Amino acid sequence: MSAAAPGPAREAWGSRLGLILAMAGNAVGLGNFLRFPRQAVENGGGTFMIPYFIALILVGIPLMWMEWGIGRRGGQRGEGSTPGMFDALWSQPVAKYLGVLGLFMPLVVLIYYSYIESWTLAWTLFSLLGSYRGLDQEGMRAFLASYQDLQNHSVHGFWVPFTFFFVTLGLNIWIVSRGLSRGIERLARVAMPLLFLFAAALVIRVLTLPPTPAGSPALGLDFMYSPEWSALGNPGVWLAAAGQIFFTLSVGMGTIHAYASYLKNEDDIVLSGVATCATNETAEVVLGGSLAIPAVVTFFGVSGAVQIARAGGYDLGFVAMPLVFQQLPGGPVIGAVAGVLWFGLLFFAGITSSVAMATPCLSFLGEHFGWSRRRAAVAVGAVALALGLCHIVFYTGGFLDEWDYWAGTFGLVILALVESVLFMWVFGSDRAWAEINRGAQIRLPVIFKYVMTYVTPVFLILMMVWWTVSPDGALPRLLMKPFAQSEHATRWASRAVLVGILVFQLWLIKAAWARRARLRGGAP
Amino acid sequence: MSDGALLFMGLAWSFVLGLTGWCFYRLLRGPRS
Repeated sequence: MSAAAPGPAREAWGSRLGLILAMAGNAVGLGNFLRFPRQAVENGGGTFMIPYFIALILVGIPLMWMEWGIGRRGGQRGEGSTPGMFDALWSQPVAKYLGVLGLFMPLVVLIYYSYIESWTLAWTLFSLLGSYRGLDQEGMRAFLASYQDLQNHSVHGFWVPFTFFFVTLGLNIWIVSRGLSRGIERLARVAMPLLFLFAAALVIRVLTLPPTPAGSPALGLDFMYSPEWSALGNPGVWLAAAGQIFFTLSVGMGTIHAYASYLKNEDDIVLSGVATCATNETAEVVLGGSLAIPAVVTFFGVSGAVQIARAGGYDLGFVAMPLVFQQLPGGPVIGAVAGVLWFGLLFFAGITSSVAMATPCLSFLGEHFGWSRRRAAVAVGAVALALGLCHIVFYTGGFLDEWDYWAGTFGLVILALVESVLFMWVFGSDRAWAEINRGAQIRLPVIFKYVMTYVTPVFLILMMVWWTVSPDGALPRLLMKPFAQSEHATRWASRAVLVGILVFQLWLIKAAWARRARLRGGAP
Repeated sequence: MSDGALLFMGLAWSFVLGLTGWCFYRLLRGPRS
């Protein structure tokens, strides 16, 4: 039985375009510009696009529809977060506790993601002020390392990362406290067009760069898209592609449920869901794929790009790209403008995602405990601030990496699997299909009913098994095999905090249903 | 660019931009089918 307390009318999206921009803003994140190009070059180049688009059609878009469907159905019952939504799908007491994942993941990811997001704000200002002008590759690495490591004062003062984190988190909390239409939707209406504008301007600049002795934009695109047919026989490539689709669409997180809960009963979700995916794919494939790798190959050559890509997404975004901007024709002013555009678009990509991550917890506290939006926003902000400080202090010990893996990677597949089984099997594929198609603006081919019922869950199970047993998967990580002894204490502490958050949220769910039972004068 | 890279890039861009264009065309057109 649903536990949401009866209260004032729920908020609603101001317009359909605003909804789609907010949903797309939730999906478009740092990964579109930093993770996707690395995944493509490391997993077969052009041939990576084959499993990538197959995963989009068989896993990504179907999960998007399911989450919109679960969310809209929950919203009609006054539920804006997954515990109540799952409870409305399956009338077993355990259902609401399974829904804890839809509170746990967005809160945990919000906390560390807003810290990374604060780097983009910092680098926007550094670009404007010319703080990294004249640095070579080693200098730029030291510039980033000093920001990440509080013990390292070689470049940045102790207070710098804290300040940018406070400002970033404060902005997030202020936006979500203003409400759905006045806060989140207004942000999306401004930030998303600017993001596309900034990215398009940079793509035009990058693709029209003159060749250098090291390489050219055409060589970069060739490096990105040259097919390696042997990659198609490697299951790891298929799972990497499915994983990328997962991250890029922000499915399995609980955020789409929360946004979709503010839809009206007859609002279209089929076309809107595909439009959200398509907008995200444009940002990822057309813009994200044409920026970092072609730019880096132009100035560092293919071997340099491989080295940078292997060093990780942060090296690509925060070390290599500033070096590229310094070498752009036109001098320091053009370099500064390019830096502001690049880090500005990353900041917009980040903040439109992080406000979505705050939403499920705000909805839960408002609907189940009667908290005002502002009070809930301040509470979530206080928790994020307190725990975010741990990431700043213990970043180099792997504290953030643990959260990113367990909540931001592995947890997504678990929630996606749980929701697909609950919706398509427990709730029933016929009812789920009818739910998704109610109010649909386009006719959905019936084959997708079978894809959602059989193919998507099987794909998710395969992903989960692979991510558990693969050499850098969950099992070896759990046993600390890939990590240095010096990091073990920090990583165990990081896991303990995660468990603490999970247990606290389970207790909150129990308390919410007990409160509801008291209000109704019945048994929990 | 090699022919293979051009082909894959062209197909990927066409699919994504085509899908996005079609979605927004249908969204703007409005009435239900």
